[in-house]
Amino acid sequence: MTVPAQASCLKQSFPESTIKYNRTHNGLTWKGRLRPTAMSPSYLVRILYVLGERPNVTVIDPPLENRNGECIPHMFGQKRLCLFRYKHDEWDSSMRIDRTIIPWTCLWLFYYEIWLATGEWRGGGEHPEMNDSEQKTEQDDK
Amino acid sequence: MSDLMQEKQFSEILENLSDELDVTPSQYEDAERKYKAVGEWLATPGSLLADFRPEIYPQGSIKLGTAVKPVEGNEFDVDLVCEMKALPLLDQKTVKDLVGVRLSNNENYRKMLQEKKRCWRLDYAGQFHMDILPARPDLHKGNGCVLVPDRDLKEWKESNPKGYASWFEDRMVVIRAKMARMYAEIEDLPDNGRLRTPLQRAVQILKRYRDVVFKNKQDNAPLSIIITTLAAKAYTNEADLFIALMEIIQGMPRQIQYINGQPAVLNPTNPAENFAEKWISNPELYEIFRQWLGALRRDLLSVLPRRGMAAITEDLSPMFGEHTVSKAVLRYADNMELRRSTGLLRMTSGSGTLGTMAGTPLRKNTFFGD
Repeated sequence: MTVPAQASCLKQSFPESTIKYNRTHNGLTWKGRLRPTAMSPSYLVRILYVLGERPNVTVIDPPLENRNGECIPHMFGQKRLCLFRYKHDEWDSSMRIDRTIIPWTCLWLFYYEIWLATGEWRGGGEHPEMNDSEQKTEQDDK
Repeated sequence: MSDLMQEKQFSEILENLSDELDVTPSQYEDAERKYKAVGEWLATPGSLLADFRPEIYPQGSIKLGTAVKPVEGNEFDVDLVCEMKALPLLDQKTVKDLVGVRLSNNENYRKMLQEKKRCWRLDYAGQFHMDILPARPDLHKGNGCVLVPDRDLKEWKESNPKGYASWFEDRMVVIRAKMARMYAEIEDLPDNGRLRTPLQRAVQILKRYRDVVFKNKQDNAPLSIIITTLAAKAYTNEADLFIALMEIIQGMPRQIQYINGQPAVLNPTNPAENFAEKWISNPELYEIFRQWLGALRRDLLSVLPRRGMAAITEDLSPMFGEHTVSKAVLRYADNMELRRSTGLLRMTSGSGTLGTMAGTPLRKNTFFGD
C-alpha cells in the first residue's frame, strides 16, 4: 500500500488527525487523539511511518507513567509501543494502519491503564530473549 | 464523548466490583452441600430431634443473593433457619440446647461448634460460618411464618424469612424478565446460569461501602436488613447499574416511614416489626445513616469525571477496599480480553474507543518487547 493511500485512509477514519508527508523518506507522520474507553484520557499519539519499516508509535500526551519505578511492559526502550510481531505474520505494509496499528494502539493503551492501576499486564504478549539488544529485538522479529 | 458512555463504563466497572464482592458459585454450592448435610444429621431417623421434624433452609443475604465477602479474611456468613415442624411446647433455651446437643453428637461438627446468644455457629475455618437459628412454625400466621427465640432466650419472636425472600424477589420480577429476554437474544448466559440483578449488585455495593466506612465503629453501621429493605423498595427495575444505584441512594430516604414522629423501617412482610428499633433509642444513628448515604452518593459522582483507570482505582479503593478494587479492575480487564480473543472487539473511528457494537474489528496481534 502506498504512503498516500495510507494517508487517505488515516484521514478518512480520523478526520480530526493531522498528517505530514516525508517525501525524501517515502513516509508520513500521523498525529491524532485516541480515547480507548469513555473514562480514559484523550491520548495524543504520533505514528512515524516509512514504507517498508515498522510503524513507530509513541504517546506524546499525557506522558506515559512508570509504576513505582517499574518499566512499562511491551515497549521498545520505554519509548515506542510494541504492538505486533512480524514473526507471526501479523502485519505487513499491505495493511491499513488505521485498521491495524491504531486499533492495537488503543488496545495497548487500555492494558497500559490497567497495568498502571494494578501492576498487572492482562493483554498477553511475548518477550524478547534476555540478552538481545533493542535494535536486535526489532530486527530479529522479522 | 457523552456522559452516557461514561456512565455505561462506570456501570461495567461496578458490575465487576459486585462480582468480586459476591460469593463465588463454587463457594455457594459448597455451602449448600454442607448445610444440607447438617440438615440430614439433625433429621436422622431415631435421633434426638427426628420427631420434631427439623428442616434447614437459608435466610438472609445468602438466600437473597446479596452476600458480600468480608473486608478482612474470606469467611462469609451463611444464615440458616432450623425450623422444627412438630415442636412440642418447650421453652426457648431448651429448644436451642437440643439443637446444640444433636450437633455436638457429631464429631466433626463438635470441633467447629460455637455457641451464640440465640443460635449455634458451625465455623468452617477460612471458608464461611453457618449460623443455625432454631425456629418453630407460627401456626397462627401460617404461610411460612416462624417463631424464633429472642436474644435473651425469653420469648418467641415473629419472623418470616421465606416471606421476606419472596418479597425481595418480587421487587425484581420485571428486570428478571427483561434480562432473560436479553440473554436469550444474545445467547450469552453467564457460565453459572445465575443472572444477578442491578438491585442485588447495588445492595452488595452499599453493604461493602458500609463495611469499609464503619470498619472501626461497627456499632454505628447501618444494619444490612435496613439497607436491603430500603434499597429494594426504592428500586424501579432500572437495568443500568450506575443509574440504578443513584436512583436507589436517592430513593432510600423516601422509603423511611414515620411512626409517632419517629423514623422507622418496617418489615414489608410484618408491619409490626420495625427493623430500625435502634433509631428510637439512639436517634443519632438515623442521622449517621442519612449522612452515610449522602457520602456514598457524592463519592460515586466524584468518580465519574475521573480519567484513566489509575485515577478511578485511586478513588474507588478507599470506598470499597484496595485489594477488592484491584481485583475488580482485573476482572474488568479480563472481560475485555475475552471479547478480544473471541473476535467481538471493535474500535470506533474518530475516537479510537473500544467496544463491541460497531467499528473496525480488531485483528489478532501479539504485544512484544520488554
